[in-house]
Amino acid sequence: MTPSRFAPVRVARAVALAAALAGGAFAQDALERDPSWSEPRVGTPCADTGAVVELRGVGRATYDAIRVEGDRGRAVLDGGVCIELDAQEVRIRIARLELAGLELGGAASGDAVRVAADDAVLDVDAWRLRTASVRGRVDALEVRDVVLLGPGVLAVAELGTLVDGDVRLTGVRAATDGYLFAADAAHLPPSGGLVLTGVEGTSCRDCPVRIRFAADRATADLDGGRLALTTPRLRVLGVPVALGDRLEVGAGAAEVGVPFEQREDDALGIVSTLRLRDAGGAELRAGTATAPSLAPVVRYAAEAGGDRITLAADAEGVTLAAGRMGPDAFGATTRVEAVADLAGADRSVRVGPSARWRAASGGPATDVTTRAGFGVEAVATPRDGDRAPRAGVRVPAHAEVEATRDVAGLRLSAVARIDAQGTRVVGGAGGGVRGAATLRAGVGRTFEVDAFGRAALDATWERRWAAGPDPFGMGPAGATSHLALRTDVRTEAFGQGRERASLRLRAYADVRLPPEDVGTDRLGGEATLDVGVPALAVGPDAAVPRATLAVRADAAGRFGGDASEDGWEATGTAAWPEGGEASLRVGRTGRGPTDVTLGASRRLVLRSGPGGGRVELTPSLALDVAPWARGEGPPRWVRHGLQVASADCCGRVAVGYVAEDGEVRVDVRLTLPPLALEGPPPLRLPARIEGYGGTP
Amino acid sequence: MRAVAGLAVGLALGLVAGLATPPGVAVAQGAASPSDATSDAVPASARLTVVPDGPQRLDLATLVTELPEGGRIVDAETGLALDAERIRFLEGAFVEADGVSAELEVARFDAPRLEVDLAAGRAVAPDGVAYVGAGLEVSATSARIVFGPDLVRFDAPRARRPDLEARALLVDVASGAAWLLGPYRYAEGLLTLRDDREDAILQIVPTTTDAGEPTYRAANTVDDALRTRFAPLRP
Repeated sequence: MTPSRFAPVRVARAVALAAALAGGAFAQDALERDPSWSEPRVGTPCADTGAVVELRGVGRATYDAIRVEGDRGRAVLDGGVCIELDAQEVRIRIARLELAGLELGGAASGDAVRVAADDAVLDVDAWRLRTASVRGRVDALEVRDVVLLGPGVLAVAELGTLVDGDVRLTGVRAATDGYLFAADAAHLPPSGGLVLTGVEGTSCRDCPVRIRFAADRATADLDGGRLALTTPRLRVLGVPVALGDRLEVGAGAAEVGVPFEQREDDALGIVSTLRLRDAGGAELRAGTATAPSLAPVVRYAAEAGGDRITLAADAEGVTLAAGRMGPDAFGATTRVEAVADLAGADRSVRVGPSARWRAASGGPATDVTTRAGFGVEAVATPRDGDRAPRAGVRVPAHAEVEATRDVAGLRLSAVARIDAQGTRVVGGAGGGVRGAATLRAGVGRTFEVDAFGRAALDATWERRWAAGPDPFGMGPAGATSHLALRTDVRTEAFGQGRERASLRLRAYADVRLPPEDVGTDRLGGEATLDVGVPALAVGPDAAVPRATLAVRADAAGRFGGDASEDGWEATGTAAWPEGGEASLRVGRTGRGPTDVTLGASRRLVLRSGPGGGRVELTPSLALDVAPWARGEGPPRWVRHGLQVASADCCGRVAVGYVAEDGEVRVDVRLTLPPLALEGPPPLRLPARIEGYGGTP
Repeated sequence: MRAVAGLAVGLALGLVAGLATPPGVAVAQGAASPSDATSDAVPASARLTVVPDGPQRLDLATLVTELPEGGRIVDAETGLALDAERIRFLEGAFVEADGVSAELEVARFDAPRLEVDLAAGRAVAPDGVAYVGAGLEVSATSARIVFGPDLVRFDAPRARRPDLEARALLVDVASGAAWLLGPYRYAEGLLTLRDDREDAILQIVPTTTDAGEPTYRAANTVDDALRTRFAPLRP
């Protein structure tokens, strides 16, 4: 048996690091992992031969030397001691182990056995803990000054417990190849994995910290090699960003869903907002709208215990709403709502209580859901110019019954609803059938009929042929060449003579070219034909026959064409691997003049640091040169844009805009580096406290 | 181990102090004639009394005395009473007894055969031995006894008190210290110590708790003094 001891210097470093981290000051260098700490391999069982002691109800231990003092109820094991506990998948390797509470002559249980040891190695599932000391009952151990080794992870912890195979650590600092984490606590459950709570961290392991993140919880899936952050928050270049409920990072680069949103609004144009969320759940969206030009837009919402307040301000007006949850009564949930339109053309104040019921019953065949509600709403409208102030009371009410039933793979549904508003009552009923059938060999058909004011029928047929080492497409995405045909038939009836039917034929091929590196050197093509069915193509929504062809070659370019009754166009784009692109478009719309648009974009590296950090600038523009060619004037700007990106070990942050056809769109992207939860742990755990993130 | 020590002490006293040299120690017999003789208990001239159960034969040529129907040898000082179904002995040379059982005050010793080399100060129970006494119940396939210092070796012992089995159990009578020679298994309370190696040794030493309860200290590192003392019993 090989004695597995800490090198004293390493232990001292680890202890000093933990102490320094706890105190917020660093006097020591980074923890350097001794490769021998991984020997023997995690999971290696204790020796099955040689000197063995079995502790009834506790486990077994191997050792080089043992001394049992029955008169003192204790035993001392020396030299390569290895303990396997009965109740948990835990191995303890230790140079010297002292056991106390041994009632040698009686029928004592193992609960009384206590352990005291220094410089121990504990193997728990896929994790190895090297601890400066182990104390306590053998089934409830306390560890101190821990170095944790796991798949791709090196960590230190101040304190910990090991109870029934459940390891809990506090004061945790961890490093992977690309990330640093600090956590209030870590949990290694018997089921495997790692759960961190109170997490802070950064993806900037070996470069200046530009990105910090925090999360209530981080769960590592060792089998999947992914880390899922719950309620993640981010700070990028000092800007706090709420990331929603969950963020996953893993072996591939993680595209972070930056809460920058753009949407089109009939009145406000393109609305661009950034969403910020605090720890209490309040959410603020702030940004601008294009109509009128760059008008501010603010949305604020906070909710606690069912009470809610919202504020919306934009060029259309200011609306303040507050709602308070009332007591449940007669099976109903009650609320009091107040809404004030404080500016704009429709200023008013509405206040009143409401009650809502909902009941659902499920049977073996049919589910029935009933909903009902009514309210009393006082409405006041202030004087507006010549319009006199008004006040009144509304009594909105509604009732609805919905029944659904599954029959032979089809879902049948029927809904009846009645709405009452003062003396006006509106009723309606609808029904639907929805089903899907999927056959093997890639053939699928779906159809849907929704008779609630609109009817639609979709039928899809798809056939796919694949070639290569994995013809069934179960390998990595895009690893095979394939050819597919797809047919979509769609009919829709909107009522009032607005029916339409369309047939879409689409064929696409994706051919892999040698070398067979996934994601590069591929040739793909797609041809689509959309045609309407004349017999049903009536009204303004009638489908327009249209044919498109697109061919792409990864990392080389793409070209294609598009033709319909409305016009035609042909496009071609050449791309360079280092980030350049040139394009040509020739097209014509209706009876208008022919457009000839030349476009280009080019990635420029402005600064490249020794650590791999770089700042990139990617301008893009497109000009319609046809007017110039025809002598009608200078070329016309079609598109201009600029993207600025900063990339280093932290990841890549890119901000840019594209102005095209008079509309400006902003693009914000954040890409985090891969997180590897596999392989040997890192050799180094940086000591600098700022490396572990801090609260964003 | 105290009981083991008691066993050995009894054997030593009964078989060595009583039957072995020095010369002049009288072995009292009912008859000392060359012919068969039957007699009642014969008071010993010294501490031993030999009580034949039947005839007693003395071979004048060899001076070997045989008790074909066995008898009893009683040590007056220790109270040892060694009964045997058949006994042969030659003063100062040897004693051979079959179907031996020995009674001590708190223990009993049984062996199908016991051979005592009085000159060498050794005894062998080659066909097995069983001992039941305070603190020890052991049976072994054979046993060897060395006198002065008094040492006993049980081969392939199996004991219920304490729960042990081993390739051999060596006992130092005076101190009560013992060795288990590997492969061995020794269980006491929560602990069961095992070692499957031939060269493994577990040393156990009797002691008492603060409350006076008998118990042991065990270690797989051994005292050099005890190693020297047990040398006659090894390999």
